[in-house]
Amino acid sequence: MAAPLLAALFALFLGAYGMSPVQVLAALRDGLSGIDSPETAIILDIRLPRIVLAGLAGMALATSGATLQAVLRNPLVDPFILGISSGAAFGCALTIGFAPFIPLQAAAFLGGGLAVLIACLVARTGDGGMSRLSLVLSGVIVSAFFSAMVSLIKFFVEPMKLQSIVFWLMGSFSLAEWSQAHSAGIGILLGCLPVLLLRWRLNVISMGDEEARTMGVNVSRKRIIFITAATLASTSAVAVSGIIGWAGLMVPHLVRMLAGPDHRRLIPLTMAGGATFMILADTAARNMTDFDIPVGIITAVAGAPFFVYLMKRNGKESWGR
Amino acid sequence: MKTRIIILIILCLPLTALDAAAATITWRDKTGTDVTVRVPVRRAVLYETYELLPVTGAWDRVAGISRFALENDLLRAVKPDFSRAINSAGSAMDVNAEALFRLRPDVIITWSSNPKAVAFLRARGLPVIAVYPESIAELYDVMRLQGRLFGKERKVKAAIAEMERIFSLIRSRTASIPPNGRRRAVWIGGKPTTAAGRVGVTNDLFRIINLENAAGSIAGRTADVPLERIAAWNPELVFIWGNARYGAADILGNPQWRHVRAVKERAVFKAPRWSVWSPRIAPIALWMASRAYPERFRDVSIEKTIDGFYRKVYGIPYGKVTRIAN
Amino acid sequence: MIRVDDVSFRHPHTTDDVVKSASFSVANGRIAALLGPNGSGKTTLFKCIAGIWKPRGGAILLDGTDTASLSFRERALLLAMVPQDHTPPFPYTALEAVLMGRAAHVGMYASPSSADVDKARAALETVGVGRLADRPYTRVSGGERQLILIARALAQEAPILLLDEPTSHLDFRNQHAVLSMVRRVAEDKGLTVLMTLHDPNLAAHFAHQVVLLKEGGVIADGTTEDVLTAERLEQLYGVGIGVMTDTERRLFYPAS
Repeated sequence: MAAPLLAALFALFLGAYGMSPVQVLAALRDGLSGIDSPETAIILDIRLPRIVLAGLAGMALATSGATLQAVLRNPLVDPFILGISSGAAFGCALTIGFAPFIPLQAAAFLGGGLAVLIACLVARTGDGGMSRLSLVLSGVIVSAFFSAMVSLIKFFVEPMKLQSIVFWLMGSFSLAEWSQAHSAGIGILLGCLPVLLLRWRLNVISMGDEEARTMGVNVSRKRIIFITAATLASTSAVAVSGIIGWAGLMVPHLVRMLAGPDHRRLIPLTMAGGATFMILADTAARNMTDFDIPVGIITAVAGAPFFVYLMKRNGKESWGR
Repeated sequence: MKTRIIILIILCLPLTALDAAAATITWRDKTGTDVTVRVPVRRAVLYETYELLPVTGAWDRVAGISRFALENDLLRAVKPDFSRAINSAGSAMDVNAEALFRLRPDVIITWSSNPKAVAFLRARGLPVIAVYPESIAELYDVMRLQGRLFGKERKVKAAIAEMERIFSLIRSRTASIPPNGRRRAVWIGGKPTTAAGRVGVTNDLFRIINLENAAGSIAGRTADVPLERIAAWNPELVFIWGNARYGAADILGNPQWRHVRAVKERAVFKAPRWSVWSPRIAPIALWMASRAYPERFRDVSIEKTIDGFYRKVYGIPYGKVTRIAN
Repeated sequence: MIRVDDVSFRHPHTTDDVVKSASFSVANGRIAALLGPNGSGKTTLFKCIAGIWKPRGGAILLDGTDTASLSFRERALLLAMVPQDHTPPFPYTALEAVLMGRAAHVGMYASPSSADVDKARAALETVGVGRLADRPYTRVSGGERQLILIARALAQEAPILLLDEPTSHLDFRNQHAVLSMVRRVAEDKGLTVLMTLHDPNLAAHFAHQVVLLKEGGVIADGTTEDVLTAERLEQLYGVGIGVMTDTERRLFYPAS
């Protein structure tokens, strides 16, 4: 559970500016006592906000993924499958292009929420229930639709605004600053909190609508709460860092393989694991080469093979059969 | 019999005239393809380097133009109603193929960053010349190409001469600066962390002005770097690409940049929204030089010199276009 | 006590009732079996009683209360269900799975207490699989998983227990073993039990009361001795039935 802090500490010592560990510590000490120098600016205004933002975003995406996987009883689901990220992207593109007075966070949440709502409505069967498969399929359709809408917006927007949309669609923390950490942090924490508090009920819900109902859980209401929370957390992350894939899918699965599926343990560990993973991935993204690689590439390149290895090692058990 | 032969020869004469009028040129473009075009061109489509149109004056030989050109300050100043005669054909990144075919172009000039579009159009028999000038010398080549395409070689030559005159003026003031006396500058693009490397037109400008490219360790045209790296380079001057969404004030006011020397000395400037693939790169260079080494240009009236350039190359005063802001 | 009062059900967007005005009662502490051929509406009626589906007409009363007015939690305090088919979504341990049965007793934002854990463990012991407590319940046999689900229902501590075809995935020996355990536990704790069964012989041996459902309607309801006769079963299944009797029990078989 202390992993994110360790990762953050580790990341604080690495950077393109090239400071020795002694210098880093000195800068920290100076900065905290109010002294201003180029080194304190690097540590406190450039590296630290980036680390914090990466940690928050990783936590948001992973928690959102774990929640959706439980509610939809499907380990292959994440914020993007349901169309949340594409909806958030659409909301942001719309405001950047045509209505800059709307705060980005709000637009992302509305867009993501709209996507989820449509996906749920489309998937609803006659008796008011929602089959797992149809929800996933409708999520894929909604995701494709909103992605297309974003492409459409790009045509109608003037070149300067177009850049903003394009850059921000390629997930990266390269322009991270404290104001972003604050604005995203609110949404992310507000989204993760209900999930943390209600995490044991996720166990019951994962048993299926019928059984959960007979065990006394108001499944429809809980599902709305969980999906809204997951949407809030993930769209807040998307609004500041752009679309970063894979973390929401892989981290919960990894944690489940290592610590078991009981959500009392899974949720807090996923939150910590997501933060750690993203901090490490971003540290690699900004230090591996002379360039600042978009972090989504790192998450995919690192995540996929490791995931396959774990799957093969655990065999059938990893799918819960 | 003799009369018939004479009549035949007389009848064939017009044919030879026809032959002489239809010349062709072959140009190896940025994709390495040899493109052959009949000149003079009558229905060109310019997605890029359209700022040369006011130089060549070939308005009636252009059938289509990039949609971004319709808002271009220079074109509108020189020929305010040009958009009535010349249609938009999409832009270099999103080519409107149908609109393009309807225009029946005899040459298309676009950039090489959209290879799929280039291949698509070529496969359908359209002559496409893909350009991407990465140096001033290459820019001159592309300018001369347009001169040959429209039969306006002389006008292009005159424009190049004016550009060289300004470059010489700059060199005369800055060439004597020793290597360790050069100021370090960086050119940033769409994102404040996208820096121009040691390849490209902007790097050439740095060379003419005798500035050291603080981002010179980047081998290519541009690269996205961590903000820390820019802080490590600690440039004394920052120039911002004219089409960037942010301005000098955003950099000057951003606490993350506060220890960079350029910010401390308030030497952050945003270039005008003029194309860098155009003769206008000369006045841009002059402006950059005056900001980089103000003490060496105190006796030069930048405004007047730029105004003179505009009048000679375009026939309009400087005041008629969007001026450089700072 | 379970009382089914004139209950009808039809699937949305259909015109025919699958359950037609079914009525019967199960007294406190009794074990009742619901028998019927495929397509008789057995499972549908079962789901209406369990509160999973809402009947189109009629009422279902548990211990005197109309279930239509109950919240999910209130209903869970009265009635626990063991499903016929269960696909484990994740490899929870048997203990974690049984613990979920405590949901109606655990506060909204809380996690189960140690008392809840103790009750879950006790439930596993009662059904005889206490040793599997820490095993992922994906790595047990079908029969053992069925027992775990029964333990989950017992952990819910509801006076009424519903089981949907509890023997459908069990082998010959386990069918009897599981039903004997259910009967024993029900008698120990005074539970009211309703189970759907497809085998009349099991009903004959383990149930006090039998309800026969054919084409959505109740055609017989009474004690096992009264209802389970060859004639009735012929009427129910539409095939000739033979009977073998000895001092201990009767056995029915299809006779051509």
